[in-house]
Order: sequence, then structure tokens, then C-alpha cells
Amino acid sequence: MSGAILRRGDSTARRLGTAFGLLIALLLALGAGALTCALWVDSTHHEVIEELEPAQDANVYLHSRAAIMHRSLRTYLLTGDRNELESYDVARADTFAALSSAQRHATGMSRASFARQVDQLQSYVRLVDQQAKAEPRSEEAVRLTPEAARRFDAFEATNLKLDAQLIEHIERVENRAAAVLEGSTAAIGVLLALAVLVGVSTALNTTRALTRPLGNVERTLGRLTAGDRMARAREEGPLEIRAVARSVNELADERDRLRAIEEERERLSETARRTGVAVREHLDVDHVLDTACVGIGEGLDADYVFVMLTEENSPLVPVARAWSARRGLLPPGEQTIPPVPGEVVREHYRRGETWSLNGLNAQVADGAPLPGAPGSFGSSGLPPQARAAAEDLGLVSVVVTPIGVGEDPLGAVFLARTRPDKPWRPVEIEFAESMATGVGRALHSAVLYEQETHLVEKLQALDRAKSDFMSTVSHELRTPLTSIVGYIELLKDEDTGPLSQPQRHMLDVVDRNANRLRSLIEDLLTLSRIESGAFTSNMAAVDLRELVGSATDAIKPAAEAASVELETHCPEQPLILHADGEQLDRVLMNLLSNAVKFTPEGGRVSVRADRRDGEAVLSVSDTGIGIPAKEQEKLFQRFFRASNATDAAIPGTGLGLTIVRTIVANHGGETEVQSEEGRGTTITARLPIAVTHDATGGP
Amino acid sequence: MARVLIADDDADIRDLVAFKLLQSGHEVTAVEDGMAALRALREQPPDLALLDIRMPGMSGLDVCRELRAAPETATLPVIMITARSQEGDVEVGFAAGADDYIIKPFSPRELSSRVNAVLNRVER
Repeated sequence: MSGAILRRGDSTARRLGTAFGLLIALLLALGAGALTCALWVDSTHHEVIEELEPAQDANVYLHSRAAIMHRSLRTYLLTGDRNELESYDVARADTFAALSSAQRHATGMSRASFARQVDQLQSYVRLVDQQAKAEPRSEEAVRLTPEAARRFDAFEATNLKLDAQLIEHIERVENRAAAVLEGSTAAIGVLLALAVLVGVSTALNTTRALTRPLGNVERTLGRLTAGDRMARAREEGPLEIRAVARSVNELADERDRLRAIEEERERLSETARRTGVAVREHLDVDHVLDTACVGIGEGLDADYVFVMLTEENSPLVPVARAWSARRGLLPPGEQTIPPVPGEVVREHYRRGETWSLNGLNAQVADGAPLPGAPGSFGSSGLPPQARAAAEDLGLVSVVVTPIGVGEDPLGAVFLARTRPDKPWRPVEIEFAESMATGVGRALHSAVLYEQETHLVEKLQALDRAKSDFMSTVSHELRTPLTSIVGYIELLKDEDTGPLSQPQRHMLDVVDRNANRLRSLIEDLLTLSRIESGAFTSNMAAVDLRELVGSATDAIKPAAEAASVELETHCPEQPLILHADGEQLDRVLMNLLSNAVKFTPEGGRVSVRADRRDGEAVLSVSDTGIGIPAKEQEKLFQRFFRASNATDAAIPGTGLGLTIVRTIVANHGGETEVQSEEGRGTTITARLPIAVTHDATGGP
Repeated sequence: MARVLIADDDADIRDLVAFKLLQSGHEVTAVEDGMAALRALREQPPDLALLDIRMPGMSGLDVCRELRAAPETATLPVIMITARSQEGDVEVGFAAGADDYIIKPFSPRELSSRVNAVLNRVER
């Protein structure tokens, strides 16, 4: 019964509603029935108790009083006992009292009976009252007796009939009440059973209808959670469960869609990363353009990629590199799309946003302005030549990202598809933009690098030219100098005859200045060489102690000639430097010859080589004329000579210390000077120590 | 007493060297470039050649290499005269087969002693 109501596939709410409606209707019917029955039974009882039974009681009482009255009078008439007559009078009064009381209780059928009883009793009483006046056992009394008996019998018959009627009525009423009660109890029982059946059946059916589809949805959710992307719930069972299952499926579909987007994003991101790495691999504009075109084109499934680059002093921005999915990189000269006005590129770069359009073909056909496009493309549309090119190539969807650095536009990266069913999607546009921006940066770096490389090449060429120039100059200077110095020597050796004293003096002056010139040339050449870094190819492990030894040996004759004491302080352990020995020798020679040169007779020059704080410290001290304090900072300037040196006419080029400092700096070291005028000078050079293998026990 | 060839494009230097060597008792032939030097050396091989490295046309190094390549002049003593304008000139000079070198500007006395030293070495 309820199964018919709760059909599979219905809404559970409707099922439950129907079931509960039915239940409520049943319960209402139950209540109403019970109430009606109770009320009816109650009214029956009321009739019996309030009407029928009192009437019956009154009737019985009336009969008893009347019977007493009749019997008392007959007894009196037979016996003449006055007591009986008194009894008769009492009974007579009681009878009429009972009669009036009975009439008060009379209803319906008893009323007529009582009325009749009144008439009969009154007719009886009228007769017996005459008898009562007659003499007992008199003839008159006897004559009236049959009539009196007949009248009393009539009353008694009426009375008894009413009694029987009342009893029967009461019985009938009570029987009926019992029957109704029985019937309603049975009906209530049936209704109750029905209600229970509906309730239980609804509960069972609902549970059954809910459990299986819900379990199915739950299992599907479990599988989805566990990562089964294909899991979908069957849409079955009640409406609500089907709705839930549909929602779960929609959620799963949505998740799939999101995951697909996410996967695509990851793929694009990986592509972008790989392209970025490839693009940055070489700082070469052509390489950047090639890898960018291929990487972006293949990575974003484009049909064409064009990289347009601005050119200096040109109002047009041409395609610098083109790529097509079908043919790969296109030959540089091949005409693809015409140059774009610089104004459009500038405006686009100023805007700084990627411009894209799906359905370019439709826009191009009528030559209308391109919606949202920069510059004149947006205001008056593509020029005819560009429209023709776009039509020829069959471009449908385009994405154009401006590239540049700072204020300056570099150009644009132009991606196009020719397939109407493959418009550019936002995620692709986003990645096109980020990849293009990376390409822009790489291009900028490459351009800068190429410029820098060019500059370096130019500088190197300049440096070579300078070296060539220096060597030519020095050669050109040395040749005449050779003649000067040589002929002076011949003259001074008096190979061509004796010299006078003034002639000899003058030749000495010429000789001294020729030598100064020679020193200048040597020092300039040296400086030129070390400044160009040419010496670095001769780097090797050298022991500073050995260099100090050979340099002091070399300067010893000069020191002895100048009566200057020469002392050296070297550690016992080797002091290995990674250096150009010849250049360091020059440093030592320059410092030592300076020290000897500027130290008066009886002075002392000491050379000290030491290891301090992981550095080799080389210092040359003298007790010479020193350097005026305010001139010390200019000491390393080219051609600078201390005033006290020039005053004392001590020869020099002013290049020696510059050479020293340049060589030391080329070795990663520093040069310091400490000096006090009239007391002496100490020049200290700190040089990095080579990683020594003997200290670590290596080879 | 030896025959010395001097090749230098600078006349003053040729004269200077010739003067000093003549004074030392040598016989001197002076030429002004590499080709002339090579010609003179082949015509009448001297006891020693003084070759300036930098000369127009054929350099002293080229002349030296040519000499070393020919059997009759393979052992001829050669002294290179260099302005040492380039690092490595000396090494290149020895590699080309020079016996000694002298750097401009030089002292004529030193030149004379070196010439004698090389000649003595060869004689021994």
C-alpha cells in the first residue's frame, strides 16, 4: 500500500510528506472516531442513568405504593380494621406523591404511560374512596369491589407494561452502546495498525531508498578523494540523492577541468622555463631570436611567431625573425608581414599590455579599426599591406606582447594561429606575455652584450694599436739614441783624438741626458707593457727569497759604489708566490735602485721579505732623503718626482714607482709608502701567497 | 782580424759599428737591408754577421733563418741587434739561430767585445 505511494525515484521529501499526511489523517480519524464514540456512549449512559432508570424506579415505587393502598383498603373492607383504613390513606397520599414525582421524571414514551396511569389511578381512587366511606363488609362495599379490582388491574397492567418497556429500552440502549464501543474499538485498532504499518513501511522504504544511492555517492566521493579522477556517482534513487550525486559529479567534473587547467598551466610554465633557459643560454641576439621563436611557437602551439625589433633611426619596426609551425624558422629575407609603424610599437609598449584578438580574419576583411589595438591600428585599422599579409597567412587569432627595457621599446613578440577552432585562451595569453617579457630581457642583455663585446673588441684593437705604437715609437727612438750614445762613447774614449776639459764636461752632460732619455724610453715601454697586462702569461710559482737574493746581488755594486750598506732579512721557509718573476724582479730592482740612489753615503738600505696575515710582505727601507709629507700622495703618479730629489739633481724618470705599483696591483697586491723627509723611506708591497703544496703535504 | 758583415738600415749606426770594428782591426762590409745582406753573405761569406732585426723588406731574423737553412752558412756566427721593442724578440732571435744579441742603444765598446767573444768561441 505504502510501497505504491513511495515509488522509486520519487522525492524522499514527497514520500515522507505523503506518509506523514497519511499518518496524520489516520490519527485524526482515530481521534475523531474515539471521541465520537466516547461522546455517544456517554450520552447513552446519561439517558439510562438520568432518564430511564429514574423513570423505572419511580414506576416501580408507584406500583408498590398503589399496591399497598389497594391491599390496605381491601383488608379494611373485609375486616373493618381501622388501622388498615389509616394505612390506606397513607398509601393513597404516597401514591399520588409518587405519581407526581414519576411524572417529573417522565420523558418520551413514559410520559404517556404516566398520564394514563394518573387517569386510571384517579378513576380507581374515585371508586375506592366511595368504598372507603361504605361500611366494611356492606353490600355497597361488595358491589363496588369488582369494579375497583378491574380499575386497579388496568392501572397495574399499564404500570407493568411501562416497567417492561423501560427495562427493554434500557437493555436495548445498553446493548447498542456496547456494540458501538466494540465496533469503534475494533475500528481504532485497525486504524492504529494501519498507522503503524504506514510508519514502519515509510521508515523501511525511506531507509532502503536512501541507503544504497547514498552509499554509492559516498563510495564515489571516497574514490575521488583517493585520486580516481574517472569516478562518477550513478544518478539514481530519490530526487535528493540524485541531486547530491549530480552535484558530486559536477564537482568532480569541475575538479577535472581545474586540474586540466592546472596541468596545462604547469606544462606551459615548464615550457616557459625551458624556453627562458634556452634563450638565456647564449648572449647572442640571433640565438635569442631563434630559440625564442621556436620555444614560444612550439610551447604555445602557435602557427606563426614573429619577433619585431626596432631599428635605430628607422620609423618602421620590421620582423627580425619569423617562425611557422609548418616550416620552422623562416629564411631571414622572406617577406611575411610588413614592418609596423614605430608609433604603434611605442604606444603598445607605453601601454605595457599584451593585445590579443580572436577573429582577426573577420575584422581584417572589412578593414575596421581593431578593437583595443594600440596606436593607429586601434583608431583606423591595419594598413592595406598588413591586411593583405594577414589574409595571405590566414591569421585568425593573434597575441602581441610589447617588449622593451625602461623607457625604450625594443619591439614586440607576435603570435598567431590560423585555426578558427583554436582561439587564444587567457592562460595561453598569460604565458605568451611572460615568455615574451623574458625574451625581451634576454634580447636586451644580448644587445648589451654584443655592444659590450664590440666595445671590448674595439678597446682591444685600440690597446694593440697602442702597443704597436709604443713598440714602434721605442724602436724609432732607440735607433737615434744608439747613434747618440755610441758616438758620445767614441768621443769620450778619445778614439778620434784628445778632448779638452770643457769638451769632456759637455760630452758628460750630453751623455747623462742621453741616458736619461734611454731610461725614460725603457720605463715608458715597461709601463705600457705591464698596463696592457701582457706579462700575465708568464705567471709561475716563484720564491720571493730568491728574487730578493738576485736583486740585492745585482744592486750590490751600485750600493758599494755609493757607500751604502745593504742588508736583507728573509724567512727560512720558502715564500712562494704565483707571479711573473721577471716583473717582480723589476719591482725589486726599481725599489732597490731608488733606495740606493736616494740614500747618502754611509746610509743603509734593508730589504725584508716576510709572511704576515697570509700575505707576502716585501719592504725596502732606506735612510735616505725621504719624501716631503705633502708630496707623498702624488708619489705614484706618472712622471712625478719629489721636489727634494729634483733639487738635489738626482736623476730619475718619475715612472719607477708607478711601474712598481702597477705590477704589484696586477698581482693582486697593494703598495704603501711610509716616509719622513730627511729620515728615510719604506716602500711596502703586500702580495697574495700561492696555495703552497708543501704545507699540505701534497706533490 | 776577421771579416764582419753589418746589416742595418740606419747609416749612422752602420758607420758607428764599422768605425769601432775597423778600429778593433776587423774588415767590415756594411749593407742597408736584409736582401743586400743575404747577397753579400752568399757572394763572400764573412767570419761573423751583425744583423739588425728590424729592417725594411727582409728582417734580420729572416736573413738568419736563410743562413741557417743553407749548409755553407749554417755555422756562420750571427749577432742580432734588437731594439727590444717587443717582448720575446730575444727568444725569437735565438730560435732563428742567432749566437748572441745586443740591445739598442748599445755601447760600441760592448759591441766590440761581444764580437770578439763570439769569434773566439768559434775559433776554439
